[in-house]
Amino acid sequence: MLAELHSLPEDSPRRKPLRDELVETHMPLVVYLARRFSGRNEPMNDLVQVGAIGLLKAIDRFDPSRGLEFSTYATPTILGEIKRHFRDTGWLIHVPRRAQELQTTLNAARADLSQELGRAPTVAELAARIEVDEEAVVEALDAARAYSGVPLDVLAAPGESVPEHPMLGVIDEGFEQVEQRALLRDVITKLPEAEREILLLRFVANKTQTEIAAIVGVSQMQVSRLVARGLKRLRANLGAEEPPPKTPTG
Amino acid sequence: MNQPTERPDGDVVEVRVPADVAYVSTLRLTAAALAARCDLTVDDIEDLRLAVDEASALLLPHAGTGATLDARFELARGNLQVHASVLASDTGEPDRHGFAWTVLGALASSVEVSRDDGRLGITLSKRREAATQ
Repeated sequence: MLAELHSLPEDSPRRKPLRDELVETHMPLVVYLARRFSGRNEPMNDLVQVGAIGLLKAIDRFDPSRGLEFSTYATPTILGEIKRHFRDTGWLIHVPRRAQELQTTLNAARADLSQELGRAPTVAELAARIEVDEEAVVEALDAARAYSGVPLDVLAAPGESVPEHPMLGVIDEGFEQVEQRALLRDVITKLPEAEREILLLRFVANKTQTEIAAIVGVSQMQVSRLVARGLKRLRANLGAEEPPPKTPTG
Repeated sequence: MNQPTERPDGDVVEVRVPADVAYVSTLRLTAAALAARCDLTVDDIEDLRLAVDEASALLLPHAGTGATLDARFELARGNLQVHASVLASDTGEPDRHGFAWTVLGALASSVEVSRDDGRLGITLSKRREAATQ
């Protein structure tokens, strides 16, 4: 499938359905990777959507002639998008105030140094830049990662046996949001595909219209039209949609 | 107290924890701390944490009751090698068809599976990434 995609000319009408099919095939990998970060207090859906952007990039850039497995190629790209998302949005978790302040400084230094060095900085470089000791940097990095604090055994509900493959257990994403999200998800999945993709890129991944145009391969004007139309439809559908039946536990 | 040595080359750290998912975070944190000492970049360290997770996830299903998960970290400047192993209760191999294996392969600079005296092991290394610009 990938080979076929890459053999098609840029403007072939076959590209879009082929691309969609590839995205669908590889979405489980995105979900798997996104779950690994779900302890960082970012909504799981956001992470999946950001990861999906990575997947799209990987599909477009993959060179089948290099003989690499696609999933091996795509994993770092997907993770890269997820990491970038955390870097860009900052970490929305509760950490002690001192660590939080350090966090802000650290994030700024991390971004600056990445720019200057052309690669991510080391802990020593970060420590030198913000004038704290390395341990504090490691600590702050740890504080930033609820990820590191999520015991893997939360993957199994209390009293349940650990799933056969511990990494494939299910994590919940915050009960109070589930219903709302379920409703929104229902409505979003009912949108025509092009509108759905573009709305997610625009509002979940916070891409500009120009960026979206580049990712999806249409003009910025077209993106603008699709955003407007998608929003309109979303509003209409949300208004019309009956709330899902209440579950006993809520 | 001694001054810390400048270069970590050849230093070895061993950590032994119960073969239980609850202790994987200990290995992850140890790996991250040692990786900092090896001068890996923060992105490398993040990859390494995930890789250690995946390696543990691949090994734990094969651990016998009461077994330990042993990790041996070999430090070098710009490179950290992690050898994790469990005393296996079966003769099975880590599942190479799941995502865990894919992710491990994609994130580690090298991965090897070994079986030695009934111990099932995974050796992975993380080298410092090269600048991309």
